[in-house]
Amino acid sequence: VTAGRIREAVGLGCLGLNQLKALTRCGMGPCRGRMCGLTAAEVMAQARNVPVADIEPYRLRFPTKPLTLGELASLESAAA
Amino acid sequence: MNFDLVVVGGGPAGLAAAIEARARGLSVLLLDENEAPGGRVWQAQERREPRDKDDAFARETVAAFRRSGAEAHFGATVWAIEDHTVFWSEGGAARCATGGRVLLATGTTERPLPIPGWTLPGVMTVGAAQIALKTSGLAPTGATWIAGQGPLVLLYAVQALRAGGKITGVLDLSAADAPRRALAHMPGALRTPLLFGRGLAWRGRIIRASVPWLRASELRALGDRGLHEITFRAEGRERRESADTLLLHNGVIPSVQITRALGCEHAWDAAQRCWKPVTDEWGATSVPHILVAGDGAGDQDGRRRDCRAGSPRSARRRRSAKSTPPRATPRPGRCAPLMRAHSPSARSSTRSTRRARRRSTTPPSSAAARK
Repeated sequence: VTAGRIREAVGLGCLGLNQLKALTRCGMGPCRGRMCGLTAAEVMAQARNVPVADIEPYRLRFPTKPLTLGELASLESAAA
Repeated sequence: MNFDLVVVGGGPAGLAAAIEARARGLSVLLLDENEAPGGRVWQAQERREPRDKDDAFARETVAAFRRSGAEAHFGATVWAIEDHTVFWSEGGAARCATGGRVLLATGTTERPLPIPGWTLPGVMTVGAAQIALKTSGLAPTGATWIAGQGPLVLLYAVQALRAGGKITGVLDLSAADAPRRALAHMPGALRTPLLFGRGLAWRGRIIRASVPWLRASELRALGDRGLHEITFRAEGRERRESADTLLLHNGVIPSVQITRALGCEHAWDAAQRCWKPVTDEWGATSVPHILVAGDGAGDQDGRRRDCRAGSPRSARRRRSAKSTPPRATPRPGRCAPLMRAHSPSARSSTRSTRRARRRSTTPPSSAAARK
Protein backbone atom coordinates (compact mmCIF):
# COMPACT_ATOMS: atom_id res chain seq x y z
CA VAL A 1 0.00 0.00 0.00
CA THR A 2 1.57 3.29 -1.06
CA ALA A 3 1.32 6.63 0.74
CA GLY A 4 -0.62 7.84 -2.30
CA ARG A 5 -3.18 5.08 -1.81
CA ILE A 6 -3.62 6.15 1.83
CA ARG A 7 -4.16 9.79 0.81
CA GLU A 8 -6.64 8.62 -1.80
CA ALA A 9 -8.57 6.73 0.92
CA VAL A 10 -8.60 9.88 3.06
CA GLY A 11 -10.01 11.72 0.04
CA LEU A 12 -12.83 9.15 -0.01
CA GLY A 13 -13.67 10.03 3.59
CA CYS A 14 -11.58 7.47 5.47
CA LEU A 15 -10.95 8.74 9.03
CA GLY A 16 -8.97 6.14 10.94
CA LEU A 17 -6.66 3.17 10.55
CA ASN A 18 -9.39 0.54 10.94
CA GLN A 19 -11.38 2.06 8.11
CA LEU A 20 -8.17 2.26 6.12
CA LYS A 21 -7.59 -1.44 6.70
CA ALA A 22 -11.05 -2.28 5.36
CA LEU A 23 -10.53 -0.07 2.33
CA THR A 24 -6.93 -0.79 1.36
CA ARG A 25 -5.83 -3.86 3.42
CA CYS A 26 -3.10 -1.61 4.86
CA GLY A 27 -2.09 -3.31 8.12
CA MET A 28 -2.90 -6.82 6.84
CA GLY A 29 0.53 -7.59 5.41
CA PRO A 30 3.28 -9.60 7.06
CA CYS A 31 3.83 -7.06 9.85
CA ARG A 32 0.11 -6.97 10.78
CA GLY A 33 0.44 -3.26 11.48
CA ARG A 34 3.32 -3.70 13.91
CA MET A 35 5.68 -1.63 11.77
CA CYS A 36 3.43 0.32 9.42
CA GLY A 37 0.84 1.47 11.98
CA LEU A 38 2.42 4.68 13.12
CA THR A 39 3.64 5.63 9.65
CA ALA A 40 0.17 5.09 8.17
CA ALA A 41 -1.28 7.20 11.00
CA GLU A 42 1.21 10.00 10.28
CA VAL A 43 0.33 9.98 6.58
CA MET A 44 -3.40 10.07 7.40
CA ALA A 45 -2.96 12.85 9.96
CA GLN A 46 -1.05 14.92 7.43
CA ALA A 47 -3.66 14.32 4.72
CA ARG A 48 -6.54 15.15 7.09
CA ASN A 49 -4.63 18.02 8.70
CA VAL A 50 -5.29 16.77 12.24
CA PRO A 51 -2.93 15.70 15.08
CA VAL A 52 -1.71 12.08 14.85
CA ALA A 53 -3.27 11.40 18.25
CA ASP A 54 -6.68 11.93 16.64
CA ILE A 55 -6.18 9.06 14.21
CA GLU A 56 -7.77 5.91 15.59
CA PRO A 57 -5.00 3.28 15.87
CA TYR A 58 -5.32 -0.31 14.61
CA ARG A 59 -7.34 -2.64 16.76
CA LEU A 60 -4.70 -5.27 17.35
CA ARG A 61 -5.69 -8.81 18.19
CA PHE A 62 -3.95 -11.96 19.28
CA PRO A 63 -2.03 -13.77 17.96
CA THR A 64 0.41 -10.87 17.94
CA LYS A 65 3.08 -13.02 16.30
CA PRO A 66 2.53 -15.55 13.51
CA LEU A 67 2.22 -19.20 14.45
CA THR A 68 1.44 -22.32 12.44
CA LEU A 69 -1.71 -24.40 12.75
CA GLY A 70 0.57 -27.30 13.68
CA GLU A 71 1.88 -25.34 16.67
CA LEU A 72 -1.63 -24.44 17.67
CA ALA A 73 -2.74 -28.07 17.42
CA SER A 74 0.16 -29.19 19.62
CA LEU A 75 -1.23 -27.01 22.38
CA GLU A 76 -4.53 -28.91 22.32
CA SER A 77 -2.86 -32.32 22.52
CA ALA A 78 -0.62 -31.18 25.37
CA ALA A 79 -3.63 -30.00 27.32
CA ALA A 80 -5.55 -33.25 26.74
CA MET B 1 2.59 -24.57 34.76
CA ASN B 2 1.90 -21.90 37.36
CA PHE B 3 4.17 -19.02 38.30
CA ASP B 4 3.86 -15.97 40.53
CA LEU B 5 5.32 -13.87 37.74
CA VAL B 6 5.69 -14.42 34.00
CA VAL B 7 8.14 -12.02 32.35
CA VAL B 8 7.92 -11.50 28.60
CA GLY B 9 11.26 -10.24 27.25
CA GLY B 10 14.80 -10.97 28.43
CA GLY B 11 16.42 -7.59 27.91
CA PRO B 12 17.80 -5.44 30.74
CA ALA B 13 14.34 -4.64 32.14
CA GLY B 14 13.04 -8.21 31.98
CA LEU B 15 16.21 -9.66 33.49
CA ALA B 16 16.25 -7.14 36.34
CA ALA B 17 12.58 -7.79 37.09
CA ALA B 18 13.17 -11.57 37.12
CA ILE B 19 16.24 -11.25 39.38
CA GLU B 20 14.39 -8.99 41.80
CA ALA B 21 11.27 -11.14 41.92
CA ARG B 22 13.35 -14.29 42.51
CA ALA B 23 15.27 -12.53 45.28
CA ARG B 24 11.95 -11.94 46.97
CA GLY B 25 11.00 -15.58 46.69
CA LEU B 26 8.55 -15.45 43.79
CA SER B 27 8.46 -18.20 41.20
CA VAL B 28 9.38 -16.69 37.83
CA LEU B 29 9.09 -17.76 34.21
CA LEU B 30 10.92 -15.63 31.65
CA LEU B 31 10.21 -15.96 27.92
CA ASP B 32 12.27 -14.42 25.12
CA GLU B 33 12.43 -14.80 21.36
CA ASN B 34 16.21 -14.62 21.21
CA GLU B 35 18.57 -17.50 21.80
CA ALA B 36 20.16 -15.97 24.89
CA PRO B 37 19.43 -13.36 27.57
CA GLY B 38 20.19 -9.70 26.96
CA GLY B 39 17.56 -8.61 24.46
CA ARG B 40 18.67 -6.09 21.86
CA VAL B 41 20.58 -3.78 24.15
CA TRP B 42 22.72 -6.55 25.54
CA GLN B 43 22.52 -8.83 22.52
CA ALA B 44 24.92 -11.78 22.54
CA GLN B 45 26.51 -10.35 25.68
CA GLU B 46 27.62 -13.76 26.88
CA ARG B 47 29.47 -14.42 23.62
CA ARG B 48 31.29 -11.08 23.40
CA GLU B 49 34.31 -9.89 25.29
CA PRO B 50 33.37 -7.11 27.71
CA ARG B 51 34.93 -3.88 26.45
CA ASP B 52 34.01 -1.35 29.09
CA LYS B 53 32.12 -0.75 32.33
CA ASP B 54 28.76 -1.02 30.55
CA ASP B 55 29.61 -4.43 29.14
CA ALA B 56 30.85 -5.56 32.52
CA PHE B 57 27.59 -4.47 34.13
CA ALA B 58 25.59 -6.22 31.42
CA ARG B 59 27.53 -9.42 31.88
CA GLU B 60 27.12 -9.24 35.65
CA THR B 61 23.34 -8.82 35.28
CA VAL B 62 23.04 -11.69 32.81
CA ALA B 63 25.07 -13.90 35.16
CA ALA B 64 22.90 -12.87 38.12
CA PHE B 65 19.86 -13.84 36.08
CA ARG B 66 21.35 -17.26 35.24
CA ARG B 67 21.93 -17.82 38.95
CA SER B 68 18.56 -16.49 40.05
CA GLY B 69 16.63 -19.71 39.68
CA ALA B 70 14.09 -18.21 37.31
CA GLU B 71 12.81 -20.68 34.72
CA ALA B 72 13.92 -19.30 31.37
CA HIS B 73 12.81 -20.25 27.88
CA PHE B 74 14.71 -18.75 24.97
CA GLY B 75 13.67 -19.10 21.36
CA ALA B 76 10.17 -18.67 22.79
CA THR B 77 7.78 -16.39 20.89
CA VAL B 78 4.80 -15.17 22.90
CA TRP B 79 1.75 -14.82 20.66
CA ALA B 80 -1.16 -14.42 23.05
CA ILE B 81 -2.11 -13.58 26.61
CA GLU B 82 -5.59 -14.48 27.80
CA ASP B 83 -6.34 -13.33 31.30
CA HIS B 84 -3.52 -14.90 33.34
CA THR B 85 -2.46 -17.44 30.69
CA VAL B 86 0.51 -16.72 28.44
CA PHE B 87 0.81 -18.67 25.17
CA TRP B 88 4.03 -19.05 23.24
CA SER B 89 5.70 -21.11 20.50
CA GLU B 90 8.96 -22.87 21.11
CA GLY B 91 10.73 -25.42 18.95
CA GLY B 92 7.72 -25.84 16.68
CA ALA B 93 5.22 -26.45 19.46
CA ALA B 94 2.86 -24.15 21.31
CA ARG B 95 2.93 -24.02 25.08
CA CYS B 96 1.22 -22.08 27.83
CA ALA B 97 1.67 -21.14 31.48
CA THR B 98 -0.15 -18.96 33.95
CA GLY B 99 1.20 -16.09 35.99
CA GLY B 100 -0.23 -14.28 39.00
CA ARG B 101 1.21 -11.21 37.35
CA VAL B 102 2.49 -10.85 33.80
CA LEU B 103 5.27 -8.33 33.23
CA LEU B 104 5.84 -7.14 29.67
CA ALA B 105 9.39 -6.01 28.98
CA THR B 106 9.16 -6.17 25.22
CA GLY B 107 11.12 -3.00 24.58
CA THR B 108 10.84 -0.90 21.50
CA THR B 109 10.85 -1.07 17.72
CA GLU B 110 12.47 1.36 15.33
CA ARG B 111 10.18 4.00 13.95
CA PRO B 112 10.11 3.43 10.19
CA LEU B 113 11.69 6.13 8.02
CA PRO B 114 9.95 5.75 4.68
CA ILE B 115 11.93 7.67 2.09
CA PRO B 116 11.61 7.05 -1.67
CA GLY B 117 13.47 3.83 -2.39
CA TRP B 118 13.51 2.56 1.21
CA THR B 119 12.51 -0.95 0.16
CA LEU B 120 15.52 -1.45 -2.16
CA PRO B 121 17.96 -4.20 -1.18
CA GLY B 122 20.92 -2.43 0.42
CA VAL B 123 18.70 -0.12 2.45
CA MET B 124 18.17 -1.30 6.00
CA THR B 125 17.72 0.13 9.46
CA VAL B 126 20.54 1.08 11.80
CA GLY B 127 19.04 -1.30 14.37
CA ALA B 128 19.27 -4.21 11.95
CA ALA B 129 22.88 -3.32 11.16
CA GLN B 130 23.61 -3.20 14.87
CA ILE B 131 22.17 -6.69 15.36
CA ALA B 132 24.43 -7.95 12.56
CA LEU B 133 27.35 -6.25 14.28
CA LYS B 134 26.59 -7.57 17.74
CA THR B 135 25.67 -11.14 16.81
CA SER B 136 28.01 -11.81 13.89
CA GLY B 137 30.64 -9.07 14.09
CA LEU B 138 29.58 -7.75 10.67
CA ALA B 139 30.83 -4.21 10.12
CA PRO B 140 29.93 -2.22 7.00
CA THR B 141 32.25 -2.15 4.00
CA GLY B 142 31.90 -0.28 0.72
CA ALA B 143 30.11 3.05 0.43
CA THR B 144 28.00 3.14 3.59
CA TRP B 145 25.74 6.03 4.54
CA ILE B 146 23.81 6.47 7.76
CA ALA B 147 20.78 8.74 7.66
CA GLY B 148 18.20 9.89 10.14
CA GLN B 149 18.33 11.03 13.71
CA GLY B 150 18.49 9.77 17.28
CA PRO B 151 21.22 8.51 19.62
CA LEU B 152 21.44 5.11 17.92
CA VAL B 153 22.88 6.81 14.82
CA LEU B 154 25.81 8.03 16.91
CA LEU B 155 26.22 4.84 18.90
CA TYR B 156 26.14 2.57 15.87
CA ALA B 157 28.60 4.76 13.96
CA VAL B 158 31.01 4.55 16.90
CA GLN B 159 30.56 0.78 17.27
CA ALA B 160 30.97 0.18 13.53
CA LEU B 161 34.15 2.28 13.39
CA ARG B 162 35.51 0.46 16.42
CA ALA B 163 34.83 -2.87 14.71
CA GLY B 164 36.89 -1.73 11.72
CA GLY B 165 33.93 -0.74 9.60
CA LYS B 166 33.89 2.11 7.12
CA ILE B 167 31.29 4.88 7.09
CA THR B 168 31.17 7.20 4.10
CA GLY B 169 29.00 9.82 5.73
CA VAL B 170 26.25 10.57 8.22
CA LEU B 171 23.19 12.51 7.05
CA ASP B 172 21.39 14.29 9.86
CA LEU B 173 17.76 14.46 8.72
CA SER B 174 16.39 16.33 11.72
CA ALA B 175 14.36 19.45 10.97
CA ALA B 176 16.19 22.68 10.20
CA ASP B 177 15.02 24.26 13.46
CA ALA B 178 15.95 21.21 15.56
CA PRO B 179 19.14 22.72 17.05
CA ARG B 180 17.24 25.81 18.12
CA ARG B 181 14.48 23.73 19.71
CA ALA B 182 17.04 21.46 21.34
CA LEU B 183 18.64 24.47 22.98
CA ALA B 184 15.59 24.87 25.21
CA HIS B 185 16.33 21.41 26.63
CA MET B 186 19.96 22.19 27.37
CA PRO B 187 19.44 22.76 31.12
CA GLY B 188 17.82 19.32 31.37
CA ALA B 189 20.65 17.74 29.41
CA LEU B 190 23.21 19.30 31.73
CA ARG B 191 21.46 17.71 34.68
CA THR B 192 22.44 14.31 33.29
CA PRO B 193 26.14 14.96 32.71
CA LEU B 194 26.97 11.27 32.24
CA LEU B 195 24.55 10.88 29.35
CA PHE B 196 25.38 14.25 27.88
CA GLY B 197 29.10 13.58 28.09
CA ARG B 198 28.63 10.22 26.45
CA GLY B 199 26.83 11.82 23.51
CA LEU B 200 29.65 14.34 23.12
CA ALA B 201 32.25 11.58 23.28
CA TRP B 202 30.47 9.63 20.53
CA ARG B 203 30.27 12.72 18.38
CA GLY B 204 33.94 13.44 19.02
CA ARG B 205 34.93 9.96 17.97
CA ILE B 206 33.04 10.31 14.71
CA ILE B 207 34.69 13.67 14.03
CA ARG B 208 38.14 12.23 14.81
CA ALA B 209 37.49 9.40 12.35
CA SER B 210 36.93 12.14 9.72
CA VAL B 211 33.46 10.85 8.88
CA PRO B 212 31.56 13.69 7.14
CA TRP B 213 28.46 14.81 9.04
CA LEU B 214 25.92 16.72 6.97
CA ARG B 215 22.56 18.23 7.74
CA ALA B 216 20.47 16.96 4.86
CA SER B 217 16.92 16.69 3.54
CA GLU B 218 15.02 15.20 0.59
CA LEU B 219 16.92 11.92 0.82
CA ARG B 220 16.20 9.36 -1.91
CA ALA B 221 17.56 5.87 -2.46
CA LEU B 222 18.04 4.99 -6.10
CA GLY B 223 18.86 1.75 -7.83
CA ASP B 224 17.57 -0.90 -10.14
CA ARG B 225 17.72 -4.26 -8.42
CA GLY B 226 19.53 -2.92 -5.39
CA LEU B 227 20.79 0.32 -3.93
CA HIS B 228 23.15 2.09 -6.29
CA GLU B 229 23.20 5.72 -5.23
CA ILE B 230 21.50 8.26 -3.00
CA THR B 231 20.48 11.84 -3.63
CA PHE B 232 19.91 14.49 -1.00
CA ARG B 233 19.95 18.22 -0.44
CA ALA B 234 22.69 19.54 1.84
CA GLU B 235 24.30 22.94 2.26
CA GLY B 236 21.83 24.36 -0.20
CA ARG B 237 22.55 22.09 -3.14
CA GLU B 238 21.49 18.74 -4.60
CA ARG B 239 24.03 16.00 -4.14
CA ARG B 240 24.30 12.59 -5.72
CA GLU B 241 26.57 10.00 -4.13
CA SER B 242 27.19 6.36 -4.88
CA ALA B 243 26.05 4.03 -2.10
CA ASP B 244 26.25 0.31 -1.39
CA THR B 245 24.49 0.46 1.95
CA LEU B 246 22.09 3.00 3.39
CA LEU B 247 21.20 2.65 7.06
CA LEU B 248 18.09 4.52 8.20
CA HIS B 249 17.04 5.39 11.72
CA ASN B 250 14.38 7.63 13.16
CA GLY B 251 14.32 6.83 16.86
CA VAL B 252 12.52 4.04 18.65
CA ILE B 253 8.92 3.63 19.82
CA PRO B 254 7.47 1.32 22.51
CA SER B 255 6.16 -2.02 21.26
CA VAL B 256 2.51 -1.84 22.18
CA GLN B 257 1.07 -4.84 20.29
CA ILE B 258 0.47 -6.99 23.36
CA THR B 259 -0.88 -4.19 25.56
CA ARG B 260 -3.12 -3.07 22.69
CA ALA B 261 -4.41 -6.58 22.09
CA LEU B 262 -5.10 -6.89 25.83
CA GLY B 263 -7.14 -3.70 25.73
CA CYS B 264 -4.86 -1.77 28.10
CA GLU B 265 -5.32 1.97 28.12
CA HIS B 266 -2.79 3.94 26.02
CA ALA B 267 -1.89 7.61 25.81
CA TRP B 268 -0.30 9.61 23.03
CA ASP B 269 3.13 10.97 23.94
CA ALA B 270 3.37 14.26 22.06
CA ALA B 271 7.11 14.70 22.73
CA GLN B 272 8.08 11.25 21.46
CA ARG B 273 5.26 11.10 18.89
CA CYS B 274 4.16 7.63 19.86
CA TRP B 275 1.56 5.68 21.85
CA LYS B 276 2.51 4.36 25.27
CA PRO B 277 0.63 2.13 27.68
CA VAL B 278 -0.71 4.09 30.67
CA THR B 279 0.94 2.78 33.83
CA ASP B 280 0.97 3.72 37.47
CA GLU B 281 4.24 4.16 39.34
CA TRP B 282 4.41 0.41 39.92
CA GLY B 283 4.33 -0.25 36.22
CA ALA B 284 0.78 -1.65 36.37
CA THR B 285 -1.39 -1.03 33.32
CA SER B 286 -5.14 -0.46 33.35
CA VAL B 287 -5.45 -4.28 33.35
CA PRO B 288 -4.37 -4.85 36.96
CA HIS B 289 -2.33 -8.05 36.61
CA ILE B 290 -0.48 -6.80 33.52
CA LEU B 291 2.66 -4.73 34.13
CA VAL B 292 5.05 -3.00 31.76
CA ALA B 293 8.72 -2.24 32.44
CA GLY B 294 11.69 -0.80 30.59
CA ASP B 295 11.75 0.95 27.26
CA GLY B 296 8.35 -0.47 26.37
CA ALA B 297 6.91 1.65 29.17
CA GLY B 298 8.27 4.59 27.23
CA ASP B 299 10.53 5.76 30.01
CA GLN B 300 13.66 6.15 28.04
CA ASP B 301 15.05 8.74 30.37
CA GLY B 302 15.27 6.02 32.98
CA ARG B 303 14.81 8.49 35.79
CA ARG B 304 11.23 7.97 36.81
CA ARG B 305 11.12 4.22 36.96
CA ASP B 306 13.60 1.45 37.33
CA CYS B 307 13.48 -2.04 35.95
CA ARG B 308 11.95 -3.35 39.08
CA ALA B 309 8.75 -1.56 38.31
CA GLY B 310 6.73 -4.71 38.53
CA SER B 311 8.51 -6.58 41.21
CA PRO B 312 8.05 -4.51 44.38
CA ARG B 313 4.33 -4.65 43.85
CA SER B 314 4.31 -8.41 43.47
CA ALA B 315 6.67 -8.64 46.39
CA ARG B 316 4.22 -6.74 48.50
CA ARG B 317 1.78 -9.62 48.24
CA ARG B 318 4.34 -11.89 49.73
CA ARG B 319 5.19 -9.48 52.52
CA SER B 320 1.60 -9.25 53.54
CA ALA B 321 1.73 -12.95 54.32
CA LYS B 322 5.17 -12.97 55.86
CA SER B 323 7.14 -9.91 56.79
CA THR B 324 10.37 -9.70 54.82
CA PRO B 325 12.78 -6.87 55.51
CA PRO B 326 13.60 -4.78 52.45
CA ARG B 327 16.90 -5.67 50.85
CA ALA B 328 19.86 -3.63 51.97
CA THR B 329 22.28 -4.28 49.12
CA PRO B 330 22.01 -2.33 45.89
CA ARG B 331 20.92 -4.33 42.87
CA PRO B 332 21.94 -3.86 39.29
CA GLY B 333 18.41 -3.06 38.44
CA ARG B 334 18.02 0.39 37.00
CA CYS B 335 16.19 0.64 33.75
CA ALA B 336 18.61 0.47 30.88
CA PRO B 337 17.07 2.00 27.78
CA LEU B 338 18.59 1.53 24.39
CA MET B 339 21.14 4.28 24.63
CA ARG B 340 21.45 4.88 28.32
CA ALA B 341 24.62 4.69 30.33
CA HIS B 342 24.39 1.62 32.54
CA SER B 343 27.24 2.59 34.79
CA PRO B 344 26.06 1.72 38.28
CA SER B 345 27.70 4.66 39.97
CA ALA B 346 27.73 4.53 43.74
CA ARG B 347 25.45 7.52 43.93
CA SER B 348 22.69 6.18 41.72
CA SER B 349 22.79 2.77 43.39
CA THR B 350 22.29 4.36 46.77
CA ARG B 351 19.46 6.42 45.48
CA SER B 352 17.66 3.52 43.87
CA THR B 353 18.10 1.40 46.97
CA ARG B 354 16.66 4.14 49.08
CA ARG B 355 13.77 4.46 46.71
CA ALA B 356 13.17 0.72 46.72
CA ARG B 357 13.07 0.82 50.49
CA ARG B 358 10.63 3.66 50.50
CA ARG B 359 8.47 1.82 48.03
CA SER B 360 8.39 -1.34 50.05
CA THR B 361 7.20 0.45 53.16
CA THR B 362 4.68 2.87 51.69
CA PRO B 363 2.66 1.52 48.80
CA PRO B 364 1.00 4.36 46.88
CA SER B 365 -2.67 4.79 47.49
CA SER B 366 -3.53 4.26 43.83
CA ALA B 367 -2.10 0.77 43.86
CA ALA B 368 -3.73 0.03 47.17
CA ALA B 369 -7.07 1.26 45.94
CA ARG B 370 -6.96 -1.02 42.95
CA LYS B 371 -6.55 -4.14 45.05
